[in-house]
Amino acid sequence: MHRHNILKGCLTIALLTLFTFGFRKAGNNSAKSLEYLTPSGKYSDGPDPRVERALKKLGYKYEVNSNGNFKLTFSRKNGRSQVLFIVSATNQIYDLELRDIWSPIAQLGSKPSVNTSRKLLEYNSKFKVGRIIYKVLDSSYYAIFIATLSADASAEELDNVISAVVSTADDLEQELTKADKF
Amino acid sequence: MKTTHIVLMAILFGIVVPGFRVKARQAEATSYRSERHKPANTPDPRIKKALEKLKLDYKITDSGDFKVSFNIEDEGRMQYVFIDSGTYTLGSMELRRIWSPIAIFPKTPSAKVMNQLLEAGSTKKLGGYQMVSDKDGSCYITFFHQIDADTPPDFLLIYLKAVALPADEAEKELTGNDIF
Repeated sequence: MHRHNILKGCLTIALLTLFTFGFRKAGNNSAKSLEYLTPSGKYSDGPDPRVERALKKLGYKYEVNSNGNFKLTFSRKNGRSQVLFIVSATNQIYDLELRDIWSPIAQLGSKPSVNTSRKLLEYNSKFKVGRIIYKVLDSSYYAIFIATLSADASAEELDNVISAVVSTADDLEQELTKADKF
Repeated sequence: MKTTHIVLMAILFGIVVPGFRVKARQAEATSYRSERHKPANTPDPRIKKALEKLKLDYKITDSGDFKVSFNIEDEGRMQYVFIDSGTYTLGSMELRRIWSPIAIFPKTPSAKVMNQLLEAGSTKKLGGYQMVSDKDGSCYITFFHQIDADTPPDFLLIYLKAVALPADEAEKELTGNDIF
C-alpha cells in the first residue's frame, strides 16, 4: 500500500512537471528567442504608454517582455496563429519619431537559397506597408516582416498596420515553410 | 488518490502557472499584398506644393511621378528619389511610395548580393530594398519606403533624404558608379 502511494506521488510529480515544462516549451519556440530582437538595435526599459493606451483601446490582449516590448498573438485562418511584436524603443530621424512593428516569417538556415531571396526581394515591391528583412541570429537567417510607423500613430493607424503585418507574415510563413512555427 | 484526481490537478496546475497563455482570439486580417501600383499619370498637387515649399528642384516623369535629385553632402555624389503620385489605402490610411534607384543587374544577382541587401534592411531606421525583374531577365534594385500621402513638407524632406542616403551607399558599394 505504502509503495502504491509513493508510485502515485511520483506520477503526480511527473504529470505536474510535464504540464509545467511542456506548456512552457510550447511557448519557447524560435519566436521566443527572437522576442528580444529590436531590428533597430534599440532597447527600452519599459513599455511605451502610448502603445499600451492604444492596445487597450483596441481591446487586444498582449504581454510585455522584460525589455518593454509588446507581444501579441493572433489567431488566423485554418487554425493557424501568428506572433507580433511592437517595439517600445523608438528611432529618431531629426524630428521624426518612428516605431517598428514586426513579425517573424521563417528560419531559413545558414544560407537562404537564391530563389527564396529573389522572391522576397521581389515581394518587397508589392506590399502596401512594410518590408521583408533578414536578421542573422546564431548563424541562422530569419526572414522578418517589419513595418515602421510614427511613434505617435493613433490606435486606428496602429490597428491597420498590426493587421497588415500579422497577415502578411503568416501568409509568407505558410508559403515558404508550410509550417506554423511563429 | 484516484488517477483522475491526479490528472485534474495537473491540468489545473498547468493552467495557473505563468507562461501558459491561451492565445487571444483576435481579429482575422485580410491580405495586404497588392500588385505594383499603376501610374497616376497626373502629378499629385499635394507633392508639387510640398516640393515648391521646400524649394527642391524636381521633374515630372511620363507617368506623373516626381523625380527629385539630391547632392550627397561630403561625397560629391548625387542621388535621385522618386515620389509616386499614385496613392493607395490601408484601412483609413492613404499611403504612397517613395523610392530611389540603386542598380540594374543584367540577370538575377548572386545569393550573396541579395542576402546582403535583405540583411542591410535590418540596420535601417526605415525603408527596405526591393527588386523588380524585367522580361529580358534584368533586375532593377531600389530602396523604398511607404509614407502617409499627406506627409507635411518638413517630414517629406526627412523621408526623401532617409531614402536617398542608403540607396546611394548601396549603389556605390554594389556598382562603384554614380549613375542614379
